[in-house]
Amino acid sequence: MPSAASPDAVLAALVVLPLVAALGTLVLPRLAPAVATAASWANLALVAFAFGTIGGETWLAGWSAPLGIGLRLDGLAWVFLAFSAPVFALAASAGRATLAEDGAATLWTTLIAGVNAIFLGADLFNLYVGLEVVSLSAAALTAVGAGAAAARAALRYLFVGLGGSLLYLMAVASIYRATGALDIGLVASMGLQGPALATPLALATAGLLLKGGVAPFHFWLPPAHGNAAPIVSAALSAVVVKTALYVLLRLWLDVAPQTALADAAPIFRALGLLAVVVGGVAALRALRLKALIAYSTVAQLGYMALALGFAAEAPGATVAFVAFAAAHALAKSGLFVAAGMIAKANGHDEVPRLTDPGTAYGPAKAALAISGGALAGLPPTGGFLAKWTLAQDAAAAGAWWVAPALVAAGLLTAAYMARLATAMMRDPPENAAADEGGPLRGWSALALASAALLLGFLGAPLAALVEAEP
Amino acid sequence: MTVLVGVGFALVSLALFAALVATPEAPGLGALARSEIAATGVSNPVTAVLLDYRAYDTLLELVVVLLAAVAAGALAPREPAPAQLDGPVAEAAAGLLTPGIVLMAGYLLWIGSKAPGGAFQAASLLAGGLILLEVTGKTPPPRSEAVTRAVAGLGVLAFLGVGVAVAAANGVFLDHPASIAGSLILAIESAATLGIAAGLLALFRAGTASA
Amino acid sequence: MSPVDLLYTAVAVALFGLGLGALALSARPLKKLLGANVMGTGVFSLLIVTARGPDGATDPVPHALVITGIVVTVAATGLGLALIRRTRSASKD
Repeated sequence: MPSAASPDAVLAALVVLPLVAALGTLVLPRLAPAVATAASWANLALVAFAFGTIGGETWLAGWSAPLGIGLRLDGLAWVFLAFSAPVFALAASAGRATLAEDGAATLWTTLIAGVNAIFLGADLFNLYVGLEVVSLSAAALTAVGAGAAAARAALRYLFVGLGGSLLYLMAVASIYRATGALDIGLVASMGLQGPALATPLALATAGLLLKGGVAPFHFWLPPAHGNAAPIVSAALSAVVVKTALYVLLRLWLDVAPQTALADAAPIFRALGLLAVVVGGVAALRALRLKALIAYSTVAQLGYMALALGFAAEAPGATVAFVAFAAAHALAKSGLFVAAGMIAKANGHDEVPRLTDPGTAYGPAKAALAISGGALAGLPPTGGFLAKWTLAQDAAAAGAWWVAPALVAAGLLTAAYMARLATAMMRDPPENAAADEGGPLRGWSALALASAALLLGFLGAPLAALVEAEP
Repeated sequence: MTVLVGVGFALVSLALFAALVATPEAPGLGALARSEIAATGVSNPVTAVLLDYRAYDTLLELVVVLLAAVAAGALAPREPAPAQLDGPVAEAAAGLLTPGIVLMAGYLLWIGSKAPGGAFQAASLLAGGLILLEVTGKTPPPRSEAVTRAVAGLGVLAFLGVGVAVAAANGVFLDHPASIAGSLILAIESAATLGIAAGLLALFRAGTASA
Repeated sequence: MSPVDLLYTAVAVALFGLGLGALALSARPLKKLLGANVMGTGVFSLLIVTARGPDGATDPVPHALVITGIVVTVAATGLGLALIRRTRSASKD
């Protein structure tokens, strides 16, 4: 373990560093993509270093609750930081062209700052501001350098983001009114019950499920993730939706008493199943590559909702929630980057007409295969780890139907990933395009996909981090 | 379908209202905020909350302004906005009002430490003045988009600069030492006023409809 | 709750609900954006009502939260307007 620099410095740095980079992109506009990429890698290094600070907290501006705002780094927060950082770093390296678009580099760095602020946040109102930083950055990035369809999708995404944030903010206002506190720990100790607890929880949950794209609130997601530039789609699917679900998890685990989560469990289970079915079927029928991948995200978010539905009865379900989040983030980002390359090589992204882009695309094709396996939950990937953990805990809680449901969902995933794979094996027409992205993109995709594979072997450390008492 | 959803929202609102009425209000943080105010270097409690107790919130909020200004500028179609208020009355009004607006904005910024006022109020007024100039065809500085964006980042820069400097000295980000807290807050607020005004101007320019 | 507080709370919730309805159900983007603003006004109004303490002592924290919220909403509205312009011009191409 590295010698622990004080939590005060490290936690603040996780937000300060990307913001310094954001200012850098304004002052050095021609170097902006390089600044954003360097910042993404520096963020990864800082997150790795922050492993030694797990368990630390800092009170910003020197004021503790209830007046001040705190940042807390527990195991759960670190895991979310740890799977988000490589996505930002590798995607940035793979997407120089996108980052060179006007404003994109600045938005990329503010996105990283907002994401880190959310994962570290311990104050309910501060989480609202963080969610807005992320929402606005993400919606704007969706439209950057893209055409009419992306602009429309970005506008819809912005509205969804605003609605969700305001629902969440109304919940926070209600909580402050009832408790006089905004710090998560302090609010939890106040023991809200009855309508004073149920109403804010319901409002916040509705808002966060909306922002997280959990069915039936997913209508905005396929157009947004499907029309954005590949590295933006990667960041959106892998990280941005997870921030909303992270806040949701914190609310139900840390603020609400366990009985509340047990009461609401059937709702989350039902929503999860709905998402898995709706997303999977739509992915199977999708005609365009990025739409297919976006619907796959809808389905995979269902797994997270399902896991949340068991978190009250089995603490292992929280580990499954996190594992789903992490495996999906790494696999999906790798998939989006690889898919972007393949679509570019083909000149189009219609699934029935895709062909083999050639031997130069070896890493991208390998990334596709590995990601597909991780998403389908094949062993020994992270996807399998997540499903296995959930199935065990659900069975222990008496829900026998979960394991077969997960297997069926996995087969569905395999089916639509197989559609892609068979397309890859078709011979290209005579005038096939040469590799235009440079080898870096393919290797970035492969690195992300491999990380999803590697995650499968990290079950024990993951569980230890997530379940550790703060 | 629309009617159903509308009725649903109405029911949700009623339930929310009922829950609020049924729940007793907690005493809130007013007493605590006032009792600790001496260490903040200001006497206006709202300024103390915004620039000291919850300064980190304000930092992130300035980031929102900055990113929105950058994004709006990048995304809006690049058509120059024609002057929209023509004529001698508008031009005279702009000429007469602008100095007063600038002076008033400065006053609001200064008085914010003691009385209602502060960076946001000053910036809104200043932005109004800048927009008035813009709309009558006398484009105010900052003029180029790159410079406007850079100025919009001044608030964030000030917060980061002060925050890191005090952290290097004391250990905690944004932990102002009580002796110079008032001056630090004024410095941050001055930069923030310029930054927010530039940000609002950029948003206005990006949102101006063309023919 | 005093009758005045009751009235203000009712207005705040009503604004919130109406704004939500407009945001979700309007067809035109500009109406949706205005709906979001109204929704925000509702939340801010509730916070202001909360700030009123007994014997006129106000709680400055909700006031600060509202200022922050207003600025964030203005920024989001500005971005929304730029995006609306972009969708209009992009669909003309």
